[in-house]
Amino acid sequence: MAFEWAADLAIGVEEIDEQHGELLRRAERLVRALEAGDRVGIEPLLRSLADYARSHFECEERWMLHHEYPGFEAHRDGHRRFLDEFRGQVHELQRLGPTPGMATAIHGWLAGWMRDHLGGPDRDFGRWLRARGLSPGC
Amino acid sequence: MAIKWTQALAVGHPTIDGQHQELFRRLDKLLEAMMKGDRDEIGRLFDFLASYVVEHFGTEEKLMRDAGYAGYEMHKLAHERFVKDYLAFRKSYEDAGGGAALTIKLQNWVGDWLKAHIAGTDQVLAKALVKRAG
Ligand SMILES: [Fe+2]
Ligand SMILES: [Fe+2]
Ligand SMILES: [Fe+2]
Repeated sequence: MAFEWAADLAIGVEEIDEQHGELLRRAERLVRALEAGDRVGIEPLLRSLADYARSHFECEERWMLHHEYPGFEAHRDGHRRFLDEFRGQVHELQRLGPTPGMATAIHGWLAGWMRDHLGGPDRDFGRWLRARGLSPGC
Repeated sequence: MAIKWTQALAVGHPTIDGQHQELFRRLDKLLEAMMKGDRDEIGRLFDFLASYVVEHFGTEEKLMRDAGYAGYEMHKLAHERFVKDYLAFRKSYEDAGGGAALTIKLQNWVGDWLKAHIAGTDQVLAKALVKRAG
């Protein structure tokens, strides 16, 4: 399963890593429900993932502004893109229902995004924080 | 009680470095006036710094806009927060009427902010501007 917490996704900043772990757990729960075609279960899981993602992004962005992180805008755009694409996926899901094709599409999209974002921009931000001995705090 | 611009804070952009030096000079004067309790001078310097800071930030923000600088928004937000905190500080001076504790607070808070902002955010901006100018 693609959402198990992989050590190579850890960025070495405890608070962020914990939030990423929770994000991946919620993504996993959603994908399981999609694969089971569990119509009733999907709705709250979609909301729970979107809510958590939003608050996690806000938390990262707050730290970035607080520490005047030079990569703030590009990083925030990545977060916005995720939320936009997420809305698009939900829309498709409502149109087509929880078909096996939809489950595969959302699974692939989520796994890819997590890998790219956590392993890319988030890792860069973590490295930047660690190099300065800064810690987040929100 | 003093605050000084040093070569270590140079970002390599003449306009920006010049304004930073003036900022430090005036800030140092403000600290001095606060130590002496020279209320007229304090008021004048608070006014001067408020407008000079806005002018300096405006200069940097214009340079960023002209260069289509990618870090514009974050940098501008950092400036805005500083202005807000500065005005709040001034108000607390007016309410409390000065004193050593407030003077030390000003030195530490403004000094730390300026050093951190210049060494990080302004430095990154200046590098990009210098690189762009070739
Ligand atoms: Fe993240
Ligand atoms: Fe600046
Ligand atoms: Fe500056």
